[in-house]
Amino acid sequence: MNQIIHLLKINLINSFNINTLFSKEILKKKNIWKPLLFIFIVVSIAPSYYLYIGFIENIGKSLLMINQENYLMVLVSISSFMIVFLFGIFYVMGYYYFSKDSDLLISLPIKPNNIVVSKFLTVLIYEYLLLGVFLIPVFIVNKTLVGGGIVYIIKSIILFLSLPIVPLSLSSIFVILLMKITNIKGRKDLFRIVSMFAFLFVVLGLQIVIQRSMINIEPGQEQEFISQVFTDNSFLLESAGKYYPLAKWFSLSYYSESWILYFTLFVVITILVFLFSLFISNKLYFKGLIGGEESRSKKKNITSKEYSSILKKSSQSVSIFIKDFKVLLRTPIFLFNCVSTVILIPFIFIFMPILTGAGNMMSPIRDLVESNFEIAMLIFAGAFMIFSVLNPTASTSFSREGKHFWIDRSLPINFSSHIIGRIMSPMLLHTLTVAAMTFGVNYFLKLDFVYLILPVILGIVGGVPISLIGLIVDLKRPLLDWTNPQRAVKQNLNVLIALAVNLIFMIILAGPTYFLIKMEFSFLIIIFIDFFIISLSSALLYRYSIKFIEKKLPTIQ
Amino acid sequence: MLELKNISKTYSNGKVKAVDNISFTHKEGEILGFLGPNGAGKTTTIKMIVGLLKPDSGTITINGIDNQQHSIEAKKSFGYVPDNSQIYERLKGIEYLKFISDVFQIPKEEREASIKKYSEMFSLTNALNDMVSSYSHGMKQKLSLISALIHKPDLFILDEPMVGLDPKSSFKLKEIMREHCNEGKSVFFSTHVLEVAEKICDRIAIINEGKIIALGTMEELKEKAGKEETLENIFLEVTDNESNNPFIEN
Repeated sequence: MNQIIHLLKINLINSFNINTLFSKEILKKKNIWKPLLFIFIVVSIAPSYYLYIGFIENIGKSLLMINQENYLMVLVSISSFMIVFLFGIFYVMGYYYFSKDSDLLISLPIKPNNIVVSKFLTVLIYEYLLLGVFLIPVFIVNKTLVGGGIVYIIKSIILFLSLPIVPLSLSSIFVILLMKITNIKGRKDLFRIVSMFAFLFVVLGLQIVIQRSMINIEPGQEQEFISQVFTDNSFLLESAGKYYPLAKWFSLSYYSESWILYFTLFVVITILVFLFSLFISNKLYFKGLIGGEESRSKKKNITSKEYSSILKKSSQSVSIFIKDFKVLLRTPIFLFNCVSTVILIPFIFIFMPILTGAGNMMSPIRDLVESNFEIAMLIFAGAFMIFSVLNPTASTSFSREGKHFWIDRSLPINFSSHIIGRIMSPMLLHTLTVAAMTFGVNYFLKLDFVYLILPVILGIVGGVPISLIGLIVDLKRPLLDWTNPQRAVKQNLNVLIALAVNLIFMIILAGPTYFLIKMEFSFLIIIFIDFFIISLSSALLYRYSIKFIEKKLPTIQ
Repeated sequence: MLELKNISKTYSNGKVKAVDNISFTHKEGEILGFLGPNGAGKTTTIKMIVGLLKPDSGTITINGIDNQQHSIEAKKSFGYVPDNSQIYERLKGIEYLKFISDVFQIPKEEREASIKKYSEMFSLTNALNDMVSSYSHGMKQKLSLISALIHKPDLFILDEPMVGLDPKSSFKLKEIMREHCNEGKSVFFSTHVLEVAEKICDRIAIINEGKIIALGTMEELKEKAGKEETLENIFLEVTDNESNNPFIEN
């Protein structure tokens, strides 16, 4: 137990940078920006959070109106399950296998079980922080529906603490099995990446199919379905409960008279699943870990033809891009966080509507788009840009270099090449995402491609200032001291700061656009003005970034 | 070739003096060995020369170019091998060398010839197509050496270059260093291996607690010590803080 506590303490200090957080340095005048930054991020995100709380309240009210209020907690537990499970796969992969401390821990006389438990608890604490943000309003709304005093609070705390354990245990089991099976000589990284994506597709597909069959209304049976919803207050709960018994028990822990039974069932099953994951970890964790970082060595001479083709001359910026992009694609954690959207978006936009049958329901949307064509095109352009805002590739560009950043810093690289070379990866990914989205939109809305040209160009060009903002934010305070690549992308505050700054940029862009629409300006003029704002901000940001990198590079310690 | 004037560097908000007002000149065609105990300020000095750290005060000029005012021009003049070979694990050796060649804009034929020459010399040819993650510490060190040499720098800066190298590669490196100087270029390197320094250095600088406490040829150092001694004895003597130390001016 002592070992677990010590390991957990070290993990938390490393993962959350606790030493810096609580050091006296934070109280010094020059560090005043840190709390101010925190306030800035909270204030930028507050409006969205306020909307979220309103959304939860509305769902609660709507369910109460149709006599299905117990379905709220079912929805919440299923969503939490999916979030924890999917994020858990990445976290477990990062913490269990790609964290450099694992190599050190293997060589120490520590029981494998203790290493796994401490790592599991670290990820679990991270999941609590993530879920807490989303679930606290839900528990408050639920209290207004079900009532309750101190028992409600204690029960909610226990259920909240138990909720992520099952999905996280399942992601641990999946990752541990995957790493064990794929720990073979050869292209293990490629094999692991392909397996992860294949698994993600299967899980998402399965989820969609289950949801479809849950509310599968035969033609002509709509009336009966509606009357069942109103007369049987556990109708939705039972439909979902067939597939997700844990979600049903979670909800019945609040809504059933024999709630103690369901509450106990939920907690006991959670403990059992956790113990089972520990059993699997104990058996297989080290087998997947030892040799996991080994790389295949071909020891094969390069032919003179290969030599000549590899060593072709490129400009500094292109060479920085090639290096950056190769490292991005070959580091699984970076790939999942930065490139996965490009792979997942076509899936979400093409396969999901097909599987859910939503594709057939697109004609009203198509009519809406056609009748408000110009506004729809501007919305598309904005949506394309939002994908650039959400992608962490630019805002982690320098942080991803980690301990290798000395290389670029000691080389005679022009400041403009630094910026151009580093903006290419996020822009390439952004362009691919826009292309994937355009094909997805077009597949269902059957719009003429010609109509989409302007929003596509605006959407892609809009990625330039957004990516530049990401680069500047990351350069201001690059997170270079990491042993787990997860920290450079997933736990990098720069991603959040860049998101907040970029949202402000989007508001600055959307404000005049909205105003011009209201003033009934012509569509082409609005597009032209948006282009002008984007081009001007790109030019200013580019100039600033070059000056900034010149000043910043020698001072990074 | 390399000139440091009144260079100082402190850490922890000025509380720790890593380098304390050092000045020296490194001439063309010379191998200058930089010695000192652990934590004496060797790596900090080297990092300031290559632009990885900013001095608190003083100037560093490389080939007459101020490395703070014209950092890119100054960086074109040297090749740097750090003490820890942290190289992109997810790149192949050849891809890393291509990146370095592109940064220095080395013509295609020239880079091919250089890479071939040095990879054969360090027996790394058949590993160049492998990921750096599959390399041993010594192989990474060799890759780092090749990358610092392919653009034929005027000044070759190495921080503890012998660590991790096999005897044959160490021997080759010493040969390269000498050839480099014979071509009128310079080598500046730090080391703990005193025998190497004694054998190949034209001049030796010893740093202790951030200050240069001895600088000169082997003969000059022996003369100052007042007796015929090995470099090891001189080193132990000069880094000793006792009051009878002939190198400390009271």
